[in-house]
Amino acid sequence: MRTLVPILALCFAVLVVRVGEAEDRAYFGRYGFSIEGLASPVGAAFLPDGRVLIVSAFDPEIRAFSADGLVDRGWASARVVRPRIARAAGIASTRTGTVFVLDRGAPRVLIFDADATPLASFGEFGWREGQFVQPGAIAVDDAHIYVADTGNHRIQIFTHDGVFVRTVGAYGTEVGSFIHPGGVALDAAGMMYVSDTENDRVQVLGADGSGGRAWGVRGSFRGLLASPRGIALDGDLVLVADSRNHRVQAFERTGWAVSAWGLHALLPREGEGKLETPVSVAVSWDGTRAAVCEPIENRCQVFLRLEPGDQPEQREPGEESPTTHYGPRAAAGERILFLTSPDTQSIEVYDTSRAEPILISSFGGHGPEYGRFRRITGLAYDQASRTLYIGDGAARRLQTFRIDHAPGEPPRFRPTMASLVRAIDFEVYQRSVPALQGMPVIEPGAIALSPVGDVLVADARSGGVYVFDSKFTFMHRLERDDGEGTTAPCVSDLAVRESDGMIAVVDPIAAVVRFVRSDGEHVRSVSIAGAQDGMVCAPFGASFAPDGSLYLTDEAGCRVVRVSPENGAIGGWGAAGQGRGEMWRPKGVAMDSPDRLIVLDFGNHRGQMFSLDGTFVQAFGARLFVLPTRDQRPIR
Amino acid sequence: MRFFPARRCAAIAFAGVGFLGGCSGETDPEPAAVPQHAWAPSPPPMYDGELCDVPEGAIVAAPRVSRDTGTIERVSNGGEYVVTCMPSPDPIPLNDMFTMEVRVASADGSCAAEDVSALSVSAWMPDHAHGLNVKPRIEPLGDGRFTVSGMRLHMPGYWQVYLDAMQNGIVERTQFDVWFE
Repeated sequence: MRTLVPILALCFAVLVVRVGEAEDRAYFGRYGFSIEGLASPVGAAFLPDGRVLIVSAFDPEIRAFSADGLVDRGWASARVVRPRIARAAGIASTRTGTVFVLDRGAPRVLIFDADATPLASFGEFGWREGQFVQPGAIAVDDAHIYVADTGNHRIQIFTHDGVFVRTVGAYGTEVGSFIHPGGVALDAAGMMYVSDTENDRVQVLGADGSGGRAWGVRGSFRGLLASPRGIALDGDLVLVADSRNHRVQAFERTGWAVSAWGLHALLPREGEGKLETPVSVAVSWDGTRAAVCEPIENRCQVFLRLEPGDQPEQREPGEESPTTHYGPRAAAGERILFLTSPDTQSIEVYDTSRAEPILISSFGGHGPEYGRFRRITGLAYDQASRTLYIGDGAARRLQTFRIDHAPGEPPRFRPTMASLVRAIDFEVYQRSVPALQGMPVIEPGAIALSPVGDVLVADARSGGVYVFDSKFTFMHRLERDDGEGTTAPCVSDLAVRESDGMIAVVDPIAAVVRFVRSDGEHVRSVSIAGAQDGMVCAPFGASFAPDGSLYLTDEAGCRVVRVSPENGAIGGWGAAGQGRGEMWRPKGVAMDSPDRLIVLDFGNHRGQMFSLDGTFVQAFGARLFVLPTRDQRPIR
Repeated sequence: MRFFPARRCAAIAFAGVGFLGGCSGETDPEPAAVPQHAWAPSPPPMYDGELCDVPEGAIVAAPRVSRDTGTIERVSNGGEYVVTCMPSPDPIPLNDMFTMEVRVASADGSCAAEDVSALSVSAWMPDHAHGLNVKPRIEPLGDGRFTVSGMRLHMPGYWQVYLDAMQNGIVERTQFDVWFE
């Protein structure tokens, strides 16, 4: 007891000191203002004079705003950036005002001086040093450029002249390795802080990769992380855009969580401190403001320091997300629908034979074991064998599940409905297939099934499409052969026409659908125009209808486009909004019967069902997001 | 708590059929039907979400259990393998460590199971959506044999035990069920 008392006293003293420290600090978390009307903003950077520059995925220009959020036409927004930014991924600036923009679509770094004059660019698509695959974030210090080369699972370092210096990291779960790093920041001592997105942690390394340490595991409690993305330093704190927890967390550099702000919206488009999947965070040079970008909501919110008495609105430990989330992928069979839950990385199974879809099973969940997922990136369902194919790009796996539910069977929730049959572990598999040896490890994205039972898997890294037979014997690879284009190869979805095996390959960056015969012969490419002149089109999901036409979702244009392999684009419907037939960042699309199309209205946290002529049938999903389709009035 | 005898309402459920013996020269005199197509659906899971009393003497699902030896035998979900598993202690205890001797044999009798390079073992409670709170250790013994130690099913209820065998990067799952009242 005599020894216990001083120990307890010491612990109490430490606790008091920590609480005292916390109270002395003015953390970010006070809502300032929103910059709305952007086109999927992915990165913000402050200039030394307080202006903020924003790049958006669906906007080829750089937008500038004054310190209070007003449009500033004095920077690059008044000029046309040449060459156009294909699909921006991030932006960073130095204290002298030099600006660096990261382009994911045509992988490169663009450099501008303080007057927005283009100075240089460097980089290209690939796996070698100095090349990028789907780069996701950029940071700079006085001497170097640090690029989160997300698709290559590494950080690449360059001089300000674009001269390659070194890479740090490779795919893996050990400290010093990454899975899809989605953010990078530097401190004055030259230490790198990396958001190791799919490992759900932050890593701290020297610029040469030495001295690595990490904090964070997946979860929603304070201090835990779920797909951390953007990262920035705020004095001696580290701010992390904790994307799937819909908040920003502040950590001490030891990894001790000290503050958090953000809470998922309850209503469509709700902001003013509410956050929806924030992907980047930036702090102004004077330390007074923090900009947080939410691509799903087409906005950036600017936060200020808390003032005495302020309580940042945040999710309490263990509190569930207040609304239904659907991930980007959908698959369907005869009156059965499979959706993903990105927060939990589980599959939700719905019976669609009744008036409204009924949840009848849920399985999977986040984890490294077989039967679970790091990040679900592809879905396809074979009705005949009742087999669901699930791609997991982050785990480099394809898994198949048998679904024990027959059409017409009374809907009843059964957690054991799905049984894992097989998994391909591509890293190991490719070593045993001579034709695939030495090639980058396949990271499955979109999946499709051919009428003869072949399995088509789009590689999220290379943009190639690999074809396997039903027993996973590798057959051949479909290459992009239409002149390659200037953008990086990218496939958001695949579909196969039942009647003749015609394959549709959707390229969201080039805004093209490539139609390919089953033997790999390229038939034609159909370019999808923006919903209006000058607007970007970003096709995502695809599904063939029985009449042979292809239904596509356009993320940027918030619509469904109908395309014929023979006649090109032949119609469509939809607009941005919350009402019937209106959408917000639509993604996956599937057919659960010959005459009904299910569109995953991703940004509205709901699905919508349409007849094939575009007539609205019904919506399902988060109640407050479905409501606008019922009374025809927006809820706000 | 023990499973088997069934009076305690705890049991192993076996959904598949298989054969005893394997590649060491021991052959089953009457091998069970082997799926002709790897994608042929396996028998449906026995568990229907309702935890109920198991009548004395009843085996919740299909057979192929040797009560004398405690051998659990199942065809993998894709039909490629027959997996034999001998838990120790037998019966599997609740919330206590146990080990398993696992043997993976090719279902077509081609004895290719020595190519099974790795085995992963886990367990899951579907009703509670959680798995083990321990990490099993797996020691390959060659010829498709593995020793699994450090297993513990820490809660009463319905468990699914998963044995995932990998051959050239393709993993196939074999599973059996355990009930603890």
